[in-house]
Amino acid sequence: MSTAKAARARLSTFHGSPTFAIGIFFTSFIFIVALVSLIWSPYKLDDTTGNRLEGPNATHLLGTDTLGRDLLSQLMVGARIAMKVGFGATGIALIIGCFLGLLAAFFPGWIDDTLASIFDTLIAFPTLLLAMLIIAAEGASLWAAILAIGIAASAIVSRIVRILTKRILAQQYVVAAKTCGTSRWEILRGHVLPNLWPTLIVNLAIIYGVAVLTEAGLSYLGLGAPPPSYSWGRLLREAQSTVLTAPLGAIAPGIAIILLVLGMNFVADGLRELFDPTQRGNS
Amino acid sequence: MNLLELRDATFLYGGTRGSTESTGISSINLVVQTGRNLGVIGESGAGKSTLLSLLLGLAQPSSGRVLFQDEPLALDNRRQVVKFRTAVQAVFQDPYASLDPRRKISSIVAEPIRSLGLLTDKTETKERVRESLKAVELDENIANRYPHELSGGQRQRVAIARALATHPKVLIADEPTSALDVTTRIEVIELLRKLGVERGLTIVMVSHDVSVVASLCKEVVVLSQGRVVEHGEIPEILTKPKNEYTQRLISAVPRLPR
Amino acid sequence: MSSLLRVESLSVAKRASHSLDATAQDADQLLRQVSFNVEDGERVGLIGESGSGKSLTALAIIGLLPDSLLQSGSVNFAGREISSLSNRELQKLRGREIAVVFQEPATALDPLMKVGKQVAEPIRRHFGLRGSDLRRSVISALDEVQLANALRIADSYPHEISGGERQRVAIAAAIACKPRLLITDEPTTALDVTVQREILKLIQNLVTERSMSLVFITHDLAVVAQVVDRILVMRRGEIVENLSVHQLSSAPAHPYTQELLKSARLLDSALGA
Repeated sequence: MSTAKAARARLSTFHGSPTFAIGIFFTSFIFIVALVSLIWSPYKLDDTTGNRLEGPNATHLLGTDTLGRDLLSQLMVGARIAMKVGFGATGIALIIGCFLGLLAAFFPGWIDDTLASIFDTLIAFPTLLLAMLIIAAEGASLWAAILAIGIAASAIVSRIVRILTKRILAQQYVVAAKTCGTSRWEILRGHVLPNLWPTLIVNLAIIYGVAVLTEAGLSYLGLGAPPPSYSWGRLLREAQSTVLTAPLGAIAPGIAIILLVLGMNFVADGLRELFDPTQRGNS
Repeated sequence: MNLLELRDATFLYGGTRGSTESTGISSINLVVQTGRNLGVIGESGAGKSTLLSLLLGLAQPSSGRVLFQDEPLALDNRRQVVKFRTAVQAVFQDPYASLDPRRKISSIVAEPIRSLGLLTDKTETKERVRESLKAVELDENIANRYPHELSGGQRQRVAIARALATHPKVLIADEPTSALDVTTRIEVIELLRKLGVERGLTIVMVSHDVSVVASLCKEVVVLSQGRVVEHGEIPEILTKPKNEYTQRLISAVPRLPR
Repeated sequence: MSSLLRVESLSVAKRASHSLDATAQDADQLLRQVSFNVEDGERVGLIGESGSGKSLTALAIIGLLPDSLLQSGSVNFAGREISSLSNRELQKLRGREIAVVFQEPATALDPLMKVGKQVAEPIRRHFGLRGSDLRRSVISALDEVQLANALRIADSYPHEISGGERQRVAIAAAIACKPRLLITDEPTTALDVTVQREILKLIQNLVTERSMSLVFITHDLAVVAQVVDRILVMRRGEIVENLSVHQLSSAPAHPYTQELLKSARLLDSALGA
């Protein structure tokens, strides 16, 4: 089949899958907001010139908090934190997970056995408890939270990488590569990674969403970055006491979290379809 | 000089770790001589895949030896291994599984040249890929495609082209036609026969299919439960098999009505 | 005399998706106007290469096509139109009147259920047998497929028995309710030749003893010629030739049949006279 047709098939998955389009829309919207907040936000974060708990109005589009600070500006800065958490934790999980997962898959025997039981233990270990331990040792900070979430997620990534790699290594094309004299390193680079990453990236998109959600949970419990921090979870926590008088203070960060997490899950679903080799070319 | 030889080779699967369904083999003697295609017939549990691993230098025998051009094959001797892999190439059963789905045909065929460092020049490599594809009667435009765009027969041709790229002396074929339709099967057998003649390629055909082995090889060994139970020329084995198992096997092969 | 199974103008197509251009529609047509009869006690071979639609034909007959496929035409069994039956009515028919044996016994059997229970299932469902009566008929069904030590097999899980034994169990489950039509889809392709011969003999004996009708699906001419009276050659969703086994060796008319035969003959000739 021609490459043009294959390209059309790719495009049609993009157009044919509204969830993927919505996912991309949601996530890139938050991403752009986070970028914009670097150079501009409606108010400075310590600007308390507004009245307490204003409703939405022309000067404060989403109203203000108990100290009279602009809610929209806080949300925008919060997007930046969510990005840091998402990319940071996913990045940590990716690096640790790939390294350990590949190590386990390539060295069957005691290395594999030991690592596999470590992954299983870590997965069974509640992320929240792990986060508390790290925070107890390091003190509460955004980076401690990111580290905790990243380490917890790395167990999941390790396990996925280990299983997928083992499956790939058992394929006939890897045996064929060995008879071609291909070295272990080249098999890793040339056969394992290209066949691994499509599934991996789908899982990373899901982990990204989970990371954002977990950090929001930690901040809500007061285990995230200490104030002044504008994590969406902390905004939720602070709006809690005034939720009846100024509901938008809780609703707005809630919606922001949903947009990003749901968006990432939609992206993961879309990527899954996109990477499915049967969707490419011969149908 | 013998190309490839198993001398009293035994391979036992120890313990339970990672044990697949493979059967071990014991005290196997086998000689591959230039120009003499050799067939290895065996059903499931005969030890075919273990035998293949030894012949392809993917495993060391527990006892006994694998000889390559009359020298013991040492898998840690890089220079010898490069010589060995250049001379001994393989084609596998399932053309869907033996080609990496995410690589273009050109890259698949060039893999042994690259991995063994046979040609360093890019245009030379390209030329070799083109020559290999031509030898298996595939259009050279196929080089830019992916495996899933090809039919089963075409894929098996690509696998053969990859094996030819090193200009090997021996082609070890593991059930190369079992996954193919009967008309395609004939084409691939014909192709292998032609390559044997034109390129002086010696073929070792490992298969459960007596008729496929018989159409390509003059000499055969019959493998059962890890041992060679019979060894001889194909006409003798077909007409007067001595071993009880061989008799059962030959008589079970379905024949067309006269 | 009316046929036991009469298939008329059976067509199967992929359900129309977004594509509207004519070439795509053509490619989506998987079976085209397939018509054939199977008489009472007749053994018919359905032969073709991969993608010819032979397995699809079997699935269409017993109403097991996936929802993504659209079926048209008529399937008449014992004077009854069954292509329009509800799922529930089809279930009554399947296993009782028409039974199927698939290629891979390892996947056709439930790995987590003891073999005896799997053979018991259709008997219980169709005959309502319970307890020791049920147990007895399971053992006799296993005896009938010549499984030595039926008692041990009945209490084994599928992975504990050999591939040949598994296929015998699948046949036992299929014929336990004494169906009038047995459909086998490549029943010996996954087996060793020595085992294949035994299974072929078994199918032959069972079909003769019970005067069942047989539809034997395979890609292998040499295999099919041993079991059936008549051969239907399929190619790209169409039946291109319908001939008796005797005609096969003398004069197949269609070029595709000739090509198939030529290939099979080439392989056969390697085995000597």
